[in-house]
Amino acid sequence: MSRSAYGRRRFLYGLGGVTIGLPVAASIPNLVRAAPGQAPPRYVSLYFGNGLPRLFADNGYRGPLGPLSPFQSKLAMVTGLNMNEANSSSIHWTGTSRFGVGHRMAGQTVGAGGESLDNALHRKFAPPGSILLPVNLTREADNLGGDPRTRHYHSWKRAGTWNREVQNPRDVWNVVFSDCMGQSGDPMNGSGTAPDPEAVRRSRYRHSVLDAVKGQYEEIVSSRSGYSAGIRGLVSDHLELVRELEKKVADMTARLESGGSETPMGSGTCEGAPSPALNIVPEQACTPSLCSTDQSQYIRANTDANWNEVWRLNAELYAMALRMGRVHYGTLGCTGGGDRYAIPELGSRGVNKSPHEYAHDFRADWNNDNAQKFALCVEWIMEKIAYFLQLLDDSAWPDPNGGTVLDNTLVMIGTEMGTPGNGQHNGDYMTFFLAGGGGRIQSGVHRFAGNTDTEFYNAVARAMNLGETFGDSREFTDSGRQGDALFGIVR
Amino acid sequence: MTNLRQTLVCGGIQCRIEPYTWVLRIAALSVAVALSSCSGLIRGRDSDDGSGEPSGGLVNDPAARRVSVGPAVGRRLTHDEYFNSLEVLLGVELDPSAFELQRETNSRGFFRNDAESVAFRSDQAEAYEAIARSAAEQVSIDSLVRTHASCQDHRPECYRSFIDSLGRLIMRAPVVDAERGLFERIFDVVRGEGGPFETGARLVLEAMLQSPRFIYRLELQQGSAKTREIDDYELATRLAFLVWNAVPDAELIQVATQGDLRSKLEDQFERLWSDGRRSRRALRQYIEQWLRLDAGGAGALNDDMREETYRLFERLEWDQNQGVLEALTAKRTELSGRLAEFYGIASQGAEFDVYDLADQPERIGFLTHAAVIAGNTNFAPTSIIDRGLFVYSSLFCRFISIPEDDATVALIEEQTVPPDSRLSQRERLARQRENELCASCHGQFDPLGFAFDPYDSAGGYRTEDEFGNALRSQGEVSFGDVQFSYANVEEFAQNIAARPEVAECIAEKSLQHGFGRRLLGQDRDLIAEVFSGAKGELNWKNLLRTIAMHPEFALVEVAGDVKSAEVAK
Repeated sequence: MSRSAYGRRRFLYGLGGVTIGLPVAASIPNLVRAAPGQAPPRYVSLYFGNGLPRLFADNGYRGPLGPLSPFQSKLAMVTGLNMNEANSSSIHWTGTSRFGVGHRMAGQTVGAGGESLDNALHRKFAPPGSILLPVNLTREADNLGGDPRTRHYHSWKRAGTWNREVQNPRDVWNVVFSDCMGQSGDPMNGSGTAPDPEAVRRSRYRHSVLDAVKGQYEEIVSSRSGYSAGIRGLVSDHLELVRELEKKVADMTARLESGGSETPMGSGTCEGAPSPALNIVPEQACTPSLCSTDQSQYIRANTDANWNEVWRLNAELYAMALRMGRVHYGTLGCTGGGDRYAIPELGSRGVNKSPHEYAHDFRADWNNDNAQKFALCVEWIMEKIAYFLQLLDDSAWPDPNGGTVLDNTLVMIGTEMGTPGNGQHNGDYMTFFLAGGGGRIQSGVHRFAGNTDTEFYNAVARAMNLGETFGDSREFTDSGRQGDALFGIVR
Repeated sequence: MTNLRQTLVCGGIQCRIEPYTWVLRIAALSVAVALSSCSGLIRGRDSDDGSGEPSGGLVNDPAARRVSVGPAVGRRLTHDEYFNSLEVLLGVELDPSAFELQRETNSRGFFRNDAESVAFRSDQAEAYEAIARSAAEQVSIDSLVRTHASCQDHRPECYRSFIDSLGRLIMRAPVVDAERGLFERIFDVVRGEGGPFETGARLVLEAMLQSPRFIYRLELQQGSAKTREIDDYELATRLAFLVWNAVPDAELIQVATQGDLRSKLEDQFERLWSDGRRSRRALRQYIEQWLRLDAGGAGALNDDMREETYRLFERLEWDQNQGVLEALTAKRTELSGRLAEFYGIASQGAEFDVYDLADQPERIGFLTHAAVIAGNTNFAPTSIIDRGLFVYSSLFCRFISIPEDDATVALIEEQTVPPDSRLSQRERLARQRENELCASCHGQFDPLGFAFDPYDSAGGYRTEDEFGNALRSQGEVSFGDVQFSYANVEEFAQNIAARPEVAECIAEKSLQHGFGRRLLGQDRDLIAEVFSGAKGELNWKNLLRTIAMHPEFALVEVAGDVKSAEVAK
């Protein structure tokens, strides 16, 4: 047995398995649970890349969609969604940046044009201690043009600014669990114990530096600086992020001064030394790729070798976070638009190109070789999605109302393009799914909605009681709840 | 006259978009393109401003000459520039991959320092903070304090001397009062905590390394006229970025402070260039982008491939005193043992060594380097179109934007002959070019890619494709005034090296990178003058010196909104 293989298996089945859920749950002080008898509202945007052809959607839960058939009674399939994006060449990034956002891309390379649904819901409803969790597993197609990050990210704080996504299970673990472990007292408000003077001093120093940096940006941005409006606008975007960082450090300094810890519960960030939990997997036992904290290295290395295992581990961690009330809102990505990832395990069935390439060569004919191979690719993706749904639907982890997590979580499953006909690589006739939903969706239906994706997202926002118009209102044609039924939504 | 708003209609086998927004900008100005038949968004060296006047060569009538003046530089430093600058300022060399920086890419035909693409995006504030902290921790703070502070205790004059001296160096201009106050507050906090002066100095360094006046290149846009001469600090900065891809060092800032830079510009150019380590580093970073080497693969062999290309240009420039064009036809190259084996050549040892390629007709000059081939192959196993477009844009400075509208895309899909036809890619493209509209564009750049048809996506040589079709380097090139045919890749390289358009394009690329912006019709005369000034000895040093010494290198456009504001005052 090789050393690296030992580390990988040990990480996957020892640390990452569901079996760790109970001790972890017991150790977290501020689990956010709903009142007895009530299930907490939860929402996940689940993205998959390179589209779902109309041919496959119209075939129902068979063949490529077969893996979803066990959940048919908990799914609403919505077809015929159209994205107001004219071109097909750039669909991977224009489409991906619209996913769960409903705005046109902010520019050629700067990302989504607005806030994503998970962020809006988290911003409005997340209880204290709950973190927004963006996880994605894809392989970037760097050479396809546009900004790879625009294809890579699905959770957006606002136009052009994404929430940091993770795809390394170790980072998922860190984000979800590590920062809240091993700390005494109330990590949000200090413990009442004596402050650590050295930590306080370090934090004050850091804050003084950022305060000076912030002041310089404000000076540049001011109209008296002598710079053009264009330059001041450019720098003002940077200023906003410096302000956020400065405020975060100011808050941390205040916490330390009152005897609290450096990281608040629910910050969603991982800083400082690795937590004790990570020592379960000794650093030297990890394969460099699996345990790397370098996302780009991780992407390249693991999509070829460990994709299934990494997906399963991330899905398990994600499901656990939802069960425990650590996460209520987030995104989960499974493959990326424009990926060059030829699925190794399908190689024996003659599938030696990436789903992206088969999507380009697709013919709406079940007898066509490219269609058959693309169907195998889609089936493989649906198996991954089904695994996640299965974890959420595990009756061993009932919600307070007796339903499964899936029953009470609205999972919006979709992609960036439609492939309505032969080789068409555009945003027409897209197919999305809604799963679970806590009574918000009419499950077991297959709806045709000839509406825009933005209207669909807005209907989902209404179903979640967001109470705000979501997406770009210029793309609405339907404005009332009556139309929500088109999308399989009942309230 | 063909309007630029007309859409490209070509039967490309892949759908790709390049953000050539400047082409659209030209179109918005009702500029016309003078290409005879291709109806795509094309810009050629001889047809970019709609004036109908040919470019190239010196303009004899000064009155007719157009002044090349661009907007003031206002952009973030590229990662290369940022880390190079840390080395120049502090002697600190950090590994960029240790920080969570956004990955930077450059589109075909453009550079990463393009002012339009180096915007600030998203959550990088923490990354810059981490870099600044690492740099400040590695520097000898005692030495820094001795160099920049007149005294080293908690007195205002000590703070002031340190802030003013270090700030002028890092921020490339004198520190203004408002900034000084911000940095003094850091010292105040340290004094309040009972910390030493050196701690304050280290923190001030951290703050300066996160300053917008360090992270960004910001040139003032105030002025009462339409244009203004940049000041000596700005000129020093332009010069240092031109030669070193980094900020000015202390000596250059000192010359700028004394107001002597214009009279000492050539001396300072020579001094910067003679720092071979930094000028070679800058040239490598330029070559990487120009030839798209960064788009190649990762790993030791791929690193060796890139190293081969860097070494070729360095050897010609520094060791053999030969021009850039020689790199197109060089038959001597430097290979590692594993790269030699990859090329099918007997290894002379594991380390890099000089190889004579006389017996390798398939290898000549940098165009057949594996790194260049691999970096310009987006779709395995080969890509005639990508490689043709690379030569078309990077060596002929001509550009085509790929269509987006549904009708054109539908036509492309209709015309595409799929790989499962088992025809060679050359044959599939030939069938697509039977469509007249497809041929109007592909007829221009496909033949430039035929030369590389026998090379696989990794840059290896093969004689037949995956379907058993024979592959050959043969073609007839015809666009604009460029007409030649070739029977093999050696003839192709020799033809390319002999083209005056290629020589001028090399000058244009240097200028494009040196200015850090996209060149427009107004820059046409400047391009011609730089080419003319350097072509006697078309090497990098000569090109960069010609650019640096040109009067328009020091000219900047005044922004309308800033000018108005000043008038209002």
